[in-house]
Amino acid sequence: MATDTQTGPGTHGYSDGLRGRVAKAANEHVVLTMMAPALLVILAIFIYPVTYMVYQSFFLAVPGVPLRFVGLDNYVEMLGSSSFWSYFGHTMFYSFGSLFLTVTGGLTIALAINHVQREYLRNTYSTVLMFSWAIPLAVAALIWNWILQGGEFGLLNMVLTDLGVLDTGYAWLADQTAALVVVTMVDAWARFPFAMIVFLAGLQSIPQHMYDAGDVDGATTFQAFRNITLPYLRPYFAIVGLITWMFAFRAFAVIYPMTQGGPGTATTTLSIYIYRQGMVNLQFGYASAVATFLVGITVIVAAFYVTVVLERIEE
Amino acid sequence: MSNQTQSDTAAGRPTEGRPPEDTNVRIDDITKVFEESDGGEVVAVEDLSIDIRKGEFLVLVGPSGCGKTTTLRTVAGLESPTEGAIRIQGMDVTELDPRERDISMVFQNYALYPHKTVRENISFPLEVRSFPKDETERRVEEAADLLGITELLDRKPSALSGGQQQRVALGRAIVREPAVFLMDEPLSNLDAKLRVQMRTELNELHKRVGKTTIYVTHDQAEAMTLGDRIAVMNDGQLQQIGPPQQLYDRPTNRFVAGFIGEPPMNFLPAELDSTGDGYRVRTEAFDFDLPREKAALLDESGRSPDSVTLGVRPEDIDDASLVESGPNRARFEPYVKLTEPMGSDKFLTLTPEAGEGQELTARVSPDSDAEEDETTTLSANLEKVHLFDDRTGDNLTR
Amino acid sequence: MSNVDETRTPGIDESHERVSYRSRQQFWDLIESPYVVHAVLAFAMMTVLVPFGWELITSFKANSAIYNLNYLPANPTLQTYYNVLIGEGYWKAILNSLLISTSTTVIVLALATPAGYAFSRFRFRFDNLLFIGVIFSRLFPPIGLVVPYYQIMARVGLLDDLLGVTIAQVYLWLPLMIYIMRNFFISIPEELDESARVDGCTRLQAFRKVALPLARPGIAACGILTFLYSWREFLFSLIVTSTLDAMPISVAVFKFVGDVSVSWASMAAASILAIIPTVFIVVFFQRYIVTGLTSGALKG
Repeated sequence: MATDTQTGPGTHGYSDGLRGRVAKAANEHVVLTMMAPALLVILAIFIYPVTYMVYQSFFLAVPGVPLRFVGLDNYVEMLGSSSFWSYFGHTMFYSFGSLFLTVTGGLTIALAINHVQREYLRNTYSTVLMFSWAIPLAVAALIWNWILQGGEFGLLNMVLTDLGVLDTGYAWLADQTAALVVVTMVDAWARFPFAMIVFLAGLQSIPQHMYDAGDVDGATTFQAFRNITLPYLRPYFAIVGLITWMFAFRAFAVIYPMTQGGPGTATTTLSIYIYRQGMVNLQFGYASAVATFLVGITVIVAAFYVTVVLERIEE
Repeated sequence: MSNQTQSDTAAGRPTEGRPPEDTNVRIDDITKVFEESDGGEVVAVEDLSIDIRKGEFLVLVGPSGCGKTTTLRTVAGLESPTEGAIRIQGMDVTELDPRERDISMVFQNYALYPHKTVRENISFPLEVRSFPKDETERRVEEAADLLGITELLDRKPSALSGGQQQRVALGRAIVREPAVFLMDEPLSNLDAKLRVQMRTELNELHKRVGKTTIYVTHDQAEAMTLGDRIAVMNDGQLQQIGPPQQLYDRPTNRFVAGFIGEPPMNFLPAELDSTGDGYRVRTEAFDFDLPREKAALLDESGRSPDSVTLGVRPEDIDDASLVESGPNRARFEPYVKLTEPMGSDKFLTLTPEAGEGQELTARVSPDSDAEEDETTTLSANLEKVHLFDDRTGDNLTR
Repeated sequence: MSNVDETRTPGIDESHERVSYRSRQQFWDLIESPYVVHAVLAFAMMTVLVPFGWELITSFKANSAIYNLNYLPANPTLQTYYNVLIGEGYWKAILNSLLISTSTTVIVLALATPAGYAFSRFRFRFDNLLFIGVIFSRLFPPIGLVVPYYQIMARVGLLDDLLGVTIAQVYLWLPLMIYIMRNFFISIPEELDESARVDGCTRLQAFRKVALPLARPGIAACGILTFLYSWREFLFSLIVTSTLDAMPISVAVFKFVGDVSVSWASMAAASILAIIPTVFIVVFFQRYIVTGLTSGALKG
């Protein structure tokens, strides 16, 4: 205790040994203090529902009836149902279609913006082009729903008939094939700005001297694009691609306000199917099984994503 | 209510009125092992013990990865040692937080708080210790005055040059008047010219403030000019500790010999023959009889292997025509591969024969008429040579 | 340009090289020309602005005037806005949105900032595992949790309750924001924290006095993103709410889609009301959104 007078008992008046332990505990305490609230919240509002979902997928769960364990019945029913596979097909079309449009559109626009010399113009372009991403998804869906209205009243039909392309209005969202293509395009419309922003960040990370060197070596613009731009953008492709696909694969907020999965079931994806089974037909157990399937696929892709992102750290 | 008590105690002026001999830092047999993410372990510092006297300027020097920075961070409390203890002014601080140790530190990148002005940066250590306002102000003014940065006090660090930032970092370190200053390569981010200038200023500052300082650098010139004593480290182990001249004159092993001095010492494989009353040293370039004092030291070491490494500093070789020959000088005629005139002297890159043999550097007088692609006659001062054990690297003639 | 060509290819096949280089380069020079670049961008702008403009025009029409085949309203009116806001009580939906987004933002920032800091600074048991867990919970498809959330909210009586919506929003955005905050803190040199600790701070003080003020741009980016994301959110708001008591505007717009007909002008007016804040945020805080998005997507 004698040594305490040296550093002052006012701040820490405990003995050497105890002081050590307290100091050490305080440091571990810091991690806990800073981390625990967030992790507890995630545990309560994420881990618990996830567990509940997986658990429930093994039960016959409908309101008003006691839970009944049915083993893998829900999964068997799901995998044996042809409509499930047709919805899975819609989901694949939708997610890959949106992925393709988002990546090509986002990249093209990012390249174009990157070519604009004046900064205020670049900013204007990228700001305005972010609008379609920033607005509520349901609003984006409804805007297009209104434009694509059948009869003569939709804007598209008005323009097309005025131009003489169509004689009468076409019911875009009532057509089995057209509807799925249209919702996919609207999804990409609301998604491409994200790809654009990330690609722009990627393009800006390419050092100018790489292009200078390419010029000196006599590379054409295309060769420079292929040998400098694309290699630099590769990790950005991977990340944009994986995120876009994952988010389109689960997408709900465009299709539901536009078509509710119709006409018929033409635009019913797994998300819409889960919603309909769970929230409309109240087949909680079965809906949970479909959800678990969708989650499982996402987890596999997410694992790829984590690897890609972790690879970037090491670069 | 306890402002006065605080400024006397936690404030870091506990050295007053106490005997000087116990105000020091003792690094007591510390070992620091880092666990790697792949499960492996890296020993950064091994069984290191150093006593630092009050007011001493101790330089920890060594190549990167030698453990010098880890040692400093252990003293600071930013790392805790795996084994061993740190004592500051006689008190075991091993388990204490940095703030509870009576230290201040200058970081490699200065670590100035970008969101605070220079004044706020310098006063920060006092502010968090609730110093009274007028006392804080007085000390900040004093420190700024001492470092010549008074007119910068209301700027932000981003508006300062590297040298000015360096001074602010020093100001923040001295304002608290701690028992020990710790400095982690503080000059390494400055350009060459400014570095030399700041080196001088640091020397003057230390003379005026007179605080115990532990200074880490990889630059042996910095170590030589700044240190009262220098501790040379390699691979986590202390190689030698002593005053600069001692390290230069009597390096304990081949590592220290090669690390201290610029250009570095030449090492030549040599054979050692006993000639009855002395030793004959044979190298590719030249043979000579070992001077008597060196032979005595070699005998003392109790080891006289057949093959050794000969160490000769470039500055101990000169043009034979410009020095008097004597018993303790050996003449030889190497081939001059390259000459580099430096103004004050001339560097020669030599080989024993044209185009073959191990290269050797000599730092000769600028008046030497040695020409490239010719042989020339040189003379080595044998009193300054060292013989190192091939196996252990120990200096056998120390 | 051509001068450079002369000195450029001293190869064997020089003449052939040069011709093909020229012709290929001419094509790409055209692609890269300002005309093409601006044409591409103009087209992209059109696909964004025309739908917005059409929605705006529609919102100035009366519901009854929708089926006149005119592009522009014959009698522009603000009546629809009045009907939607006051008549249909949509001021409540906007207020709900504001309340939900604001409280979500505050809660998420309060939780994510210290957690992100802890992930960026401390090594502790299972730190990597926990962090990967955070990434996974951020990538987790929310649709999977629709059913359990509905059941849980029903059980605890938070259906059609602002608190229920806010809890769902916190779940949706907290993991991503922890991730982004961690990346921001990593970009602040740890040396500054260490310096603060040597200068006399505890770890918590070093966080509060040094790291936190320096993370302000990051906190701003996270806050803006969280607000925007929760303002846009549709799915969970749809499930948890059923009336204007708690329904945010992002779902309320959809209420005009009736079983039989759609009140297009009302829907357009409601949509414009839902869009205005987001456009405002994008215009004024674009830089923060871009930093947040890229940091959230790219950093490891």
